[in-house]
Amino acid sequence: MQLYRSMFWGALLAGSSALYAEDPPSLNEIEKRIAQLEQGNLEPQTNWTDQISINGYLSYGITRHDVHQDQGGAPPVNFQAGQPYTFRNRVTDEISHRDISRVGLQINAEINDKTSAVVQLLGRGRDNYDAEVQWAFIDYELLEGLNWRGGRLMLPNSMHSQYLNVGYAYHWVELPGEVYDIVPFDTIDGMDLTLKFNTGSISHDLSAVYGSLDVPDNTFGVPVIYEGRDYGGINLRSRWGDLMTWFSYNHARLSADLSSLDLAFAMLGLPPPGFASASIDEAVAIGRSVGFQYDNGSFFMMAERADLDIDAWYPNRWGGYVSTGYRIGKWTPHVTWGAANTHGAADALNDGNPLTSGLALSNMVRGKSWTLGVRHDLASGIDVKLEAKRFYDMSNEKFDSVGANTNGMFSPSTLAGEIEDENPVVYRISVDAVF
Amino acid sequence: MMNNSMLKWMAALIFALPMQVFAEVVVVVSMDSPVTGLSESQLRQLYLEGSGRVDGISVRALDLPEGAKVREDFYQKAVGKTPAQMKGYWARMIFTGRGAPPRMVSGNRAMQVMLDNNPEMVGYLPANQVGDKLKVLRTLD
Repeated sequence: MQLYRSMFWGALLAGSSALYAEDPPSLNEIEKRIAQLEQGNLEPQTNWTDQISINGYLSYGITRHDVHQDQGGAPPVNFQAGQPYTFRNRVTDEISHRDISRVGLQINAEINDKTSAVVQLLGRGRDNYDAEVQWAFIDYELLEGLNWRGGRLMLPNSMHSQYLNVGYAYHWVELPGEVYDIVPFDTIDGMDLTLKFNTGSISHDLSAVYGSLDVPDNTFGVPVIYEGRDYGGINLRSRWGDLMTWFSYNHARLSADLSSLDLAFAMLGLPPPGFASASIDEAVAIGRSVGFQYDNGSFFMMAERADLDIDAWYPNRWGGYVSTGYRIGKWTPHVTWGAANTHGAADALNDGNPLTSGLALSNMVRGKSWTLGVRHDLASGIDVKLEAKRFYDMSNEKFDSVGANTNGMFSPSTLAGEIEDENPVVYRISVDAVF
Repeated sequence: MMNNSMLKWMAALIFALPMQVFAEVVVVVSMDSPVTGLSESQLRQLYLEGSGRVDGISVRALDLPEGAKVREDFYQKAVGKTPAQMKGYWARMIFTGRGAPPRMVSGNRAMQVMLDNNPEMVGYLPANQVGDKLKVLRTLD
């Protein structure tokens, strides 16, 4: 029966080759299909590739900035004195092939009709491509349109947060730091619940997330663990034709024991500055973001604003951007305006503790920027992008805290001195692929 | 002069006719499929999620190869998105674990074979390539 059926299809396929000239089959192809049919390989129930899929993304990027100046100050206030200024703690005026390069590999397994498992590993060039787990969860469909996921998830802080490493998914080389640098954590261990529903012609994804996070930080050469507990949030993504909107609200209690930093100073033979007094103990942290995106296939525009308020010496911060671009064939030129500012550190500045006020002042970030860039789609699934981001208005008297950092997202002026160039530029080029 | 322009019109018609036929895309399933109809929004949702349920029946979407003109037409008409938009959309969906794109077949004939052998699959074809083993759920023009 099976053979008869295959022969019938073989004859039909052979016959169809004459009729449909735009898609001529080779004899080999037909034979392969007949063989597949005979073995039942086209039946999805028996084909393991239907249950397991492997996908990946890769970005190779180069970046540098144009501040050709060395940091001032001296240890123990600034251990990086004499070295080049850094942008976001990493990028210098020397070309880096590592900082924004990264690779991700994802395995999806369909366990049954309602259950699947996903694991995604990420290796960042700046971490020597050491793999870390970004996603690892079991997805279970509780009801039609209602899914529960448990394990490790990426935090849904802002509109593009959950795919922030997938360069191919957006038009920039890197997402705007004004919004995406605000929350220094990107994963959570816990669960989320997502409900898909429609109101008229608008489709919505309403999601609630709950869990905790432990983020080890080694910036000062000694481990500090930032703990987030009772991390709970809710977000809504709505789509109506070419328009998409995004709202999110997240809440957590943050703790960090900084006393190990005093030990590091003691080991260097320096007087401990008293970091223990700046430890964070269950400080309430609230993050909010709102965004929209319009994309009609050629013209697109998006805007977003995010806020993070932490009830500790860490100043409250907000950031936003507006970005627009136009696809002309395989080319997409785009322009983005961004702004960031900090406020609300009055308690830390007035508590009489020079350390917490110093930390607050050096963590203040103010600045605006214009980003000009172009994306070129080389082929489906691969692009090349370049962009230049020029900062301005980082160091004027409008800043509401005297003595605050006036270097924006560069090495803080409170430690390294002010950057002479009022308009530093960051350059980035990348090749992004998804497969 | 008159004859000349009429000739031009006729020539234009001859060229335009096959293109119009080609432009008609139909959504098809196996004759054995329990699915009897598919609304505009069900079709859009199915191709934005890769799989789903239609009237309680689990279905999976199938795609023609990337670059196929019929596929481009289908997405423009059924989902309102360009190939570049869909590629970016799936990059965001896949890597946030929100879904997998429709399985891709090698061409029109493979689409016919897959649909005929798998009643739970939904696909699309140029209207003139449906054959008698498949039934048409929707015509997109």
